[in-house]
Amino acid sequence: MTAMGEPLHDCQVPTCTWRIRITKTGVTKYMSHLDFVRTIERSVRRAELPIALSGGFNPRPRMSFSPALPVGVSSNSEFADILLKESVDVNEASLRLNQFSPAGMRVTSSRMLPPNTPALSAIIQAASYRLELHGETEVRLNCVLTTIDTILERDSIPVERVTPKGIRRLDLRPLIYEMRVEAHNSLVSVYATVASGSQGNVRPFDLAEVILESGGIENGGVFMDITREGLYTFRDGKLCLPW
Amino acid sequence: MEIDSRLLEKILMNVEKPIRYVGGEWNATRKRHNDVDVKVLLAFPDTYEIGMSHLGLRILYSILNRRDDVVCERTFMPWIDMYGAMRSSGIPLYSLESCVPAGDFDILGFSLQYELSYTNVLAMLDLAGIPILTSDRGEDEPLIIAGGPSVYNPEPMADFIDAILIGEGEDAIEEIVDVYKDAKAKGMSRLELLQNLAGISGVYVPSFYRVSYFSDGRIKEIEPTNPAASYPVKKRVVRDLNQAEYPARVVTPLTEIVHDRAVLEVFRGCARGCRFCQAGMVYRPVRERAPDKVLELAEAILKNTGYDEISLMSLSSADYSHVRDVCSSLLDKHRDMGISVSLPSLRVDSFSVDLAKEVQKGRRTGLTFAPEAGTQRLRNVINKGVTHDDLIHAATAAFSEGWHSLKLYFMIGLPTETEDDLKGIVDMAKETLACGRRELRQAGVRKAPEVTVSVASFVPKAHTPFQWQPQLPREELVRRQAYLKKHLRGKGLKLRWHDVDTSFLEVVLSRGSRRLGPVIEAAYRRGCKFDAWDSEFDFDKWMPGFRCADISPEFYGNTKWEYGDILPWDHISCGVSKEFLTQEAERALSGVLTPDCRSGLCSDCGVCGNLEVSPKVMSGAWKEVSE
Repeated sequence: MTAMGEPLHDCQVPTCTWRIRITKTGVTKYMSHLDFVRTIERSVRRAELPIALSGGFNPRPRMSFSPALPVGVSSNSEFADILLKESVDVNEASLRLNQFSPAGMRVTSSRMLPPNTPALSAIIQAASYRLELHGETEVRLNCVLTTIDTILERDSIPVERVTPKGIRRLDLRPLIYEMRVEAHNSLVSVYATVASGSQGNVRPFDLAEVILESGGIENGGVFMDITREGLYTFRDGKLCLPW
Repeated sequence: MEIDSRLLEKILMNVEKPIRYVGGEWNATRKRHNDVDVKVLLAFPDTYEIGMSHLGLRILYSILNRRDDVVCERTFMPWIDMYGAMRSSGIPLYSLESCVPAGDFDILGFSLQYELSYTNVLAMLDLAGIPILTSDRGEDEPLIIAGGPSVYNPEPMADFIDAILIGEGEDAIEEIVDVYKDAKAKGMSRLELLQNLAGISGVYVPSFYRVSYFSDGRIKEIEPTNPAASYPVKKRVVRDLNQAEYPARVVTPLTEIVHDRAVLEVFRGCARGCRFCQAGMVYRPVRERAPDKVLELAEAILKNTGYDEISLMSLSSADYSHVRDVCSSLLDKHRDMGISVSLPSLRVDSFSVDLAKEVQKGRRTGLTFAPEAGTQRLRNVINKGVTHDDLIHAATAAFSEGWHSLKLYFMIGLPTETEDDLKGIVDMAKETLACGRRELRQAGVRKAPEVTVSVASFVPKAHTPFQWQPQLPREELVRRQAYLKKHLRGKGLKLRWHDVDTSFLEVVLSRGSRRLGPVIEAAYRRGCKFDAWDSEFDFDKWMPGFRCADISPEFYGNTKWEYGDILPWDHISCGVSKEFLTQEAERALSGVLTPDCRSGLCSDCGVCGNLEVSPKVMSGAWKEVSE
């Protein structure tokens, strides 16, 4: 993988960057990040898009990705930068890529980027998740509302993370920007916008755990379907998609 | 019965690599089950990553799904965590494509690639809720069939499999399906179905034979008990690879598998005649695919899969008569897409190194050579036509071309092996390393060379000239391994060896008779699964089964059998005659080489006459190559 904006030292052909927003739903939510990368690469080859390769003895396609999604979490909003040897019509290319991608992976929008656009990894600062709550018995809307209020009223939400360097303590509270409850028929979902990226990161499973631990919802029987709904960068204090 | 999808999802969130259990791959075929007459489930008794790498599965999947009246889906052995979770939550084995319980299919086809996967077959049947024993299956249970290289001695699995296809599946699978379809339409009984299946050339129905034994365990007689049963059952063989179906729309996994690349079989069979090698006997004769066909298929497979690497597969790819032309055409054609070519199983010679250099531009992962034995004397015994000079030339070429790590494959415990031969392994390894030091120094490379010696323990296999030979007792194998451990030390030398208990179980199952059925079942009942995996293999769990059945595993593992003995697989014919094997066994002991029939000298192995086939070697460079 190549970071964006890097000089084209090993590739004589000038390249264009095609940024795609792509879903990872259905069974593809069980793919690891590496699986996801490999599958996009293969889809691009099948679609015969003019992919740019790195130089050297072992040429690799030049692509870079938004932060990894944990295995088991779906997404309606992954981003990838694919370097192409020539500019393409984005609508046609999306259509073609979709035609050659496994079910669950669909480009929903895409743009050709101007040169020297910063890499995705450098600009992604926030993510939003939808956590769909399923219970063995019906999950009651009131309980979930109370739970979310309790969480938002807390001053701090300490969690421990096991890292190779030992246990790291972290306060999640300031990294949670928004939490709300949505209900459609009998289905209750929590919608949360949180920090994501090198400046602070709330993992979707952290959220799930915090919700379950905050009481109100009986633990054992509750199962959550988590979907990443958006990835954002801050522009003038506002959350914007990374276009 | 339907799978509880919510429950399954919960389980999937808590197992390693859940992507292995959900299907959804590119090129996977989905069909409505109600629209077809026959539902086939291909079942591979090992993990998804291993099974999906297997070519036979892809070929059969493609042939069956091409038919409108058949649906063919896949299932694999779930890894320990998933297996346990499925058992405890009552989720049966299911197909990846439609998530339909295995028990709802008409036919389950198991691929028997190695003996150490047998307990997994039982585990999968049990997980599917299908009775493990053929004799316990009712009229409505699925038909359980099997194929693959291990079925050249099908006897240890005789109690569990209803019908076994001996030989090449692409030639017979449609006939099997047709017979099944006909039986289903006419409402035939299971017995009638099996009789009709037995009428297909190459199909072996174990329950139609009676085996009687002498008190010492040797076989007195193998006798067909049903008029439909043939004796011997001759293997099915594809006459012309160019006419055979080859899948171009290969299922492309969503996760990394063991051989994660496009695979194209350039020829089948090998006539080099190494006397220990079962593949070299049972896949005869050599049949090459025409180079233009190879190129055409390569193009289609790369386009349909999106893989960036294609492997030209065979038992010895450097022997393919057009290997050089095909490699350069492929590389030229696909260079701008960054496609690479790989050649597995190279020979020990500089031609192979040359080829490897051509295809492996840059990505120098290491080269592997297989001299198999340490002295010329023993290499003559096993008919491995490789000399000391071949190895040194190949090693010199490799090191001077920039490789700095070589792997050498040897076997220990081969018939007639002495300490001299072990010493020969040590000497060859050290000489190769010295050669590496010299070449790298001359080339001004500062990296130190590395030689890894990998020693397997000899496992005598059915239908080879060594089928009568015992494996050495485990204590002796351990002693010989210790010799190598002691002498193969020093900077740049690495030694790898195989667990002797594993090799012992392998020989017992390879040479076993159908008396082993209860032993395999007992092992499974005690929890044996994934016996081919060092982390899971537990020989102690196998022993009570042998004791219970009053069978000494040493009888199958460590006993030399006589030429006159009836062998457990005598009713199965791979085309190579017993006379040829006997003659080869004798020539082995006197160290006489037998040439490859591609040299023009027929060794009279019997395949061509017995199976009415002939070798198919493309005209051109092959004579020069085989020198």
